[in-house]
Amino acid sequence: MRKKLIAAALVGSAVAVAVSVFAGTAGAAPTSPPAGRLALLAQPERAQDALPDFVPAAQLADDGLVINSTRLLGQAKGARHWAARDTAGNVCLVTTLGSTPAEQVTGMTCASPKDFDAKGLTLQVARLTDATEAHLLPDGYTAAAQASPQLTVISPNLAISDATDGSTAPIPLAPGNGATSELKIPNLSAAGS
Amino acid sequence: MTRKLPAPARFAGAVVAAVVLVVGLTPGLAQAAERLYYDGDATYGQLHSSPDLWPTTGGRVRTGSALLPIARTRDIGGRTVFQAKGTGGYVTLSHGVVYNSFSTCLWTFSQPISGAANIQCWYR
Repeated sequence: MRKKLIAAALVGSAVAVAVSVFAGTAGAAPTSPPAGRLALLAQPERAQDALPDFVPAAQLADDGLVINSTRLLGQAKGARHWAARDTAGNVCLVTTLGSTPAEQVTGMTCASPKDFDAKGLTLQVARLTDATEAHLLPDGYTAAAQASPQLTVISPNLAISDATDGSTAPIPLAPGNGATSELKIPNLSAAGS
Repeated sequence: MTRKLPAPARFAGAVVAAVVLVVGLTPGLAQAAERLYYDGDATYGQLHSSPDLWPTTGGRVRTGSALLPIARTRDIGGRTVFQAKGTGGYVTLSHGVVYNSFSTCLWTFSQPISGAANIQCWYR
């Protein structure tokens, strides 16, 4: 009888440890919204926000991406773009070109909420056949981006520019709608070929 | 002389072993897939490559926000097959396997800086 009791206690504690390990793993993703001016990240996740199956989500998670934080910004010219957070609470821009595991290329860049508010995020992703340059805008710069001849606005927080343009001058955006300072978007076209 | 453990105890042992395996292996597997190939201070426009030809699937570069990091996969002929550059001081690149390729990292200064900046480049 005593042996049975010891065995039962062992089973119980082992199962408890196992449950706590798995529960701890599943609950590890932080859920607090970032401090950056990007209200989109605080909105509930929609079906279209999830990364498609051909994108290597496990690699991106190893790189720090909080997988369920992605919010689709839009798509244009064969590229898809998401805003997201990383495990350190930074704001991220994720861009994918292609539509199969073999041909896809995915880039991600992340900045602290403070840096994001001051400069936004720009990401250029390229492969042999094509390239894209995307700009994640803090809230309040949509109208200015629409007025810029160098940018094409895809959605309120997403603009794209010509990835092959030779210009290196930053693109200035006047503030509006809650933003208080001018935003100078970096132009990556010719920076570090 | 050996004595057989009762079934519940054997089950408990198996569960404990499984838990130890999960806890012990999960971080190791994630780390084993990537290698740090450069860890040093910034010098303008330096290109660093992984040490051997490798079937790479991308990598990541951390420079700090004053620099513009670039992650690049080049084939054996030196062509840039895939590339990502971002303004956040941290950029990652993920793609399908490119056999016989080098993972490379590069950085430029997006604004004048003073002092030193640490650069780290990984490939996988």
